[in-house]
Amino acid sequence: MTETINHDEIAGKALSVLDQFGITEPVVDAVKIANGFGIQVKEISMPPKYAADVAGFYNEKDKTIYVQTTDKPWRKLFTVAHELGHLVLGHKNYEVLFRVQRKDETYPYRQIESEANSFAASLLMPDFMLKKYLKKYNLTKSDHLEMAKIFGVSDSGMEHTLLHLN
Amino acid sequence: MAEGSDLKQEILSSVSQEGTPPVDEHSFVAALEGGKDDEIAKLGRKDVLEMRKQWSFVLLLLITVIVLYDLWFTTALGANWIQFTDNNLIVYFILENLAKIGGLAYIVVNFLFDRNRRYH
Repeated sequence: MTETINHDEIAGKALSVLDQFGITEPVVDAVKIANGFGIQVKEISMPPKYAADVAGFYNEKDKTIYVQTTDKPWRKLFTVAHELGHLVLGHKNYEVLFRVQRKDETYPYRQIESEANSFAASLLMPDFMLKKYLKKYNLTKSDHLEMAKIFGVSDSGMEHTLLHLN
Repeated sequence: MAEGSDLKQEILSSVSQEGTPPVDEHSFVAALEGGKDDEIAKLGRKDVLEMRKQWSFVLLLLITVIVLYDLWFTTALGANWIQFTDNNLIVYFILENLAKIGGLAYIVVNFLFDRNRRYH
């Protein structure tokens, strides 16, 4: 069964978080937000068995988000934002963040992982900030490389987000 | 591969947490901020280069108009189309000067005080 994701509602929640922390400019400091929620962020070297697949996870017991230390900075930022998504969206049982999301029908965490991804994208690249910077620097939707560097996100993520920007 | 909380515990139990302090302000976020600053500086330099190109073109155009006008003026005098005693001569001089001032004003206003241009 394919469940739908309410991106507008998720974007609204991401905006509330940005508002709560007074963040109006990129790069959105997801670590600061996590700390504000009483959550630590730690970098670890994932065991070799998982290093290729796992980007990070949140451990409820020690209220810590773990990110793979060898990942690129933008990947780490996305991982933190993704894990914050699980918390803000009230997910109970969720998976570690895999580098490539599993799409098979039987994967039980597919829906909530997609929602957390949507939250992370809305948090790191909110519409109002994107429009502001496109206008400020006379950029177009095809300037995703430049925008990705300004927002501290992946190029492909920015390209996809700009493509769907109203 | 284990899933959910089992996988998290499996990873945590196999990772020594010694030497993994919490990420602070000097972390990867600072690196991303640095990348942003570099990109904005790059966009600024690109903009200045574009502005120089436009400046060069407009200045070249203005110089061409002035040279052509002077050429016509000299020819007109030599060919007796106009004379120094001609009362209209002063009008030609005034018009030329007005055109130069107007051209200069256009360049200054259009390129130095352009609302849509970013400044750094």
